[in-house]
Amino acid sequence: MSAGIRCGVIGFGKMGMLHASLANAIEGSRLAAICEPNRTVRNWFGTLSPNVPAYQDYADMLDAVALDAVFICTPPSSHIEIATACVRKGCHVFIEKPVSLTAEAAKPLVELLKQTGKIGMVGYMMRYADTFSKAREIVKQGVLGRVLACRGTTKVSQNYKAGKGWRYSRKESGGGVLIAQGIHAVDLMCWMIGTPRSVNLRSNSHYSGTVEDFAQALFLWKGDTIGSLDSSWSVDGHRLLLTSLEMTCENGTLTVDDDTVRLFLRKASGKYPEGWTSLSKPELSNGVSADIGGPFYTRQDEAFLRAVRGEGENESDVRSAWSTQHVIDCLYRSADANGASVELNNEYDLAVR
Amino acid sequence: MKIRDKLILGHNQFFGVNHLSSARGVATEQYFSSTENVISLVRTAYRAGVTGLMLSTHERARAIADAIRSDSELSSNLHLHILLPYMAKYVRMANERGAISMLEETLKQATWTERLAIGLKAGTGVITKDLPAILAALTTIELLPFKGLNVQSVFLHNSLTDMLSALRSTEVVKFFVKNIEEEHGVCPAFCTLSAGLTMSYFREIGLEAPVIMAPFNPAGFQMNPSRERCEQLLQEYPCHMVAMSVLAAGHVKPADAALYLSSLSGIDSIIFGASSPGHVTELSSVFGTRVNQTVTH
Repeated sequence: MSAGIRCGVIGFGKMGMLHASLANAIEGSRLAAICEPNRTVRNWFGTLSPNVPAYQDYADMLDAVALDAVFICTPPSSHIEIATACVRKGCHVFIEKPVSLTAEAAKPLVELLKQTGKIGMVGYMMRYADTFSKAREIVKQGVLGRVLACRGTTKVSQNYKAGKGWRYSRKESGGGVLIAQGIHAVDLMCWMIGTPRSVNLRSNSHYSGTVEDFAQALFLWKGDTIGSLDSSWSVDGHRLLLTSLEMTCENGTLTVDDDTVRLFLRKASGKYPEGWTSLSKPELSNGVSADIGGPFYTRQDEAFLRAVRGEGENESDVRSAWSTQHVIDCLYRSADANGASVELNNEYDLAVR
Repeated sequence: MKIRDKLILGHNQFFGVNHLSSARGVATEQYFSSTENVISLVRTAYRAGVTGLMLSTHERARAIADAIRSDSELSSNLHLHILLPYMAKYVRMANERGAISMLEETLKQATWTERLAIGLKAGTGVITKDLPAILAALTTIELLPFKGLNVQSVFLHNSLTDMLSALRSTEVVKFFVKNIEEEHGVCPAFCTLSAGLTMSYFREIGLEAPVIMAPFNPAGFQMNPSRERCEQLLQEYPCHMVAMSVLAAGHVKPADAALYLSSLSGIDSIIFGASSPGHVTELSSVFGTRVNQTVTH
């Protein structure tokens, strides 16, 4: 199997394994090399994939192997440096979220991608979940009218003590539950409603000590749409991560989570009747080439590889991730100022430019 | 090796997994936080002809295994099918500590019984360098709670099966088969959510008549890449198929699911979840008729 998009993966942790597997499973692409600094993990990879070279240093990998696309799955503090090197070597890049520690740090990459025309995608995979993509379609069709209020939630029973490693260092990860999980709900809100104009955040770090375990945010959009987010990885009773949004609109309400889209319309609109419509995951889903960790990851990687071939839109590009990152920056700035309101910079509003 | 049970009770309801509604999953988990309620459902299922029980190596599986052990009817007759590893635990630990530290610490924290079982006398360094040795050690540790019970098979979790198939990790797949057969004396089996990929790959590497658990339902839910391709491979590749997700997370009526499954040749067993005695009795009746069940009491 020599034809197809030659993919590299940098960082062979949980997400690196996922993207490496998908790159090999999706038709028209193959895993050509990985880079992982830890020798033990490289040894394991040698057993898993004896015919694919593994490098300690990403620069060596980029020099030695001709790659078309690279999945960057390292801690966020290294994303921009590595992505820049990959693009300069002529590669398209997929970067795990968040794109960087701050929006400011990602700005040169946004410019470089614009200059080179290379594809840059960021791993906001919830955009590729059947329920959330259907919810966005409904919102964008205008069936509900204007969004008046939006309430987002992410919760999982995951963290009840201080951990080790980069995830627990704000310097390396950028923060705690907000940037690790809540960011998906923030990104979905930006994707469906737009970039907010001001935000507030209160948080606490009861278990982790170094990064926040509980984050409660407020959002204000143009036209006085308001929103909130309740995000925690220390909530009981949620073995799996639950992400949900509830949008109250002029003509009804839409609630969406990982399993279902529920729509209540006061007046029939488009193909949706007055009253309740419920769409579950089995009704909305279509098959994927392989399901490794969730079909949305496959759809996301398929979309990236299609965009690399010039055959499709890049729905989750670095520029929109840069804008989402600015929202996160402002939320953390608010938390540092005891929840004071922080106005967003217009430069990051995708609707303005 | 193959699985003799025509009907197997799934475990998702015990551990809060519900693919149609997370909220409902949490509510069901609350009910089944009582081991007595779990055993009561298992007993009802067994008496209705469901001779197998799938159990993941969830933290609560030990209590369930102990309760089965102390029940004379279930301990002698019920067949257990173990799904490992319990991925959520490892993902959480990997998030907290990183993959290497997670494995080192899992091995370091092994109890004396576990250390004895895996022959871990010295440090963990030698084992952690060798992937098959780690897999063997963790498999032994995860199976300890079920020692002395009627374990019939060990299923590799779909995340790992599908990753190994995607990466074409033939050595590791064959090691898993050999290790489960030779070290544990039970049937090796694979759970997959990527049946098209996994079955094509297994056929290519010459894996003979493997036991595979994959989704089969009239809605095509989780039948990847497509219902048509999964049905085609089921006809072409001789394997022992355990049909899962048969109700498409509650989207399909039991009678329709049973009708569909009976139209396919090549389904050896059906695994389904149920959250109440009435539900489990209804489903065993509907599916039992369709698969021409031979109860292996």
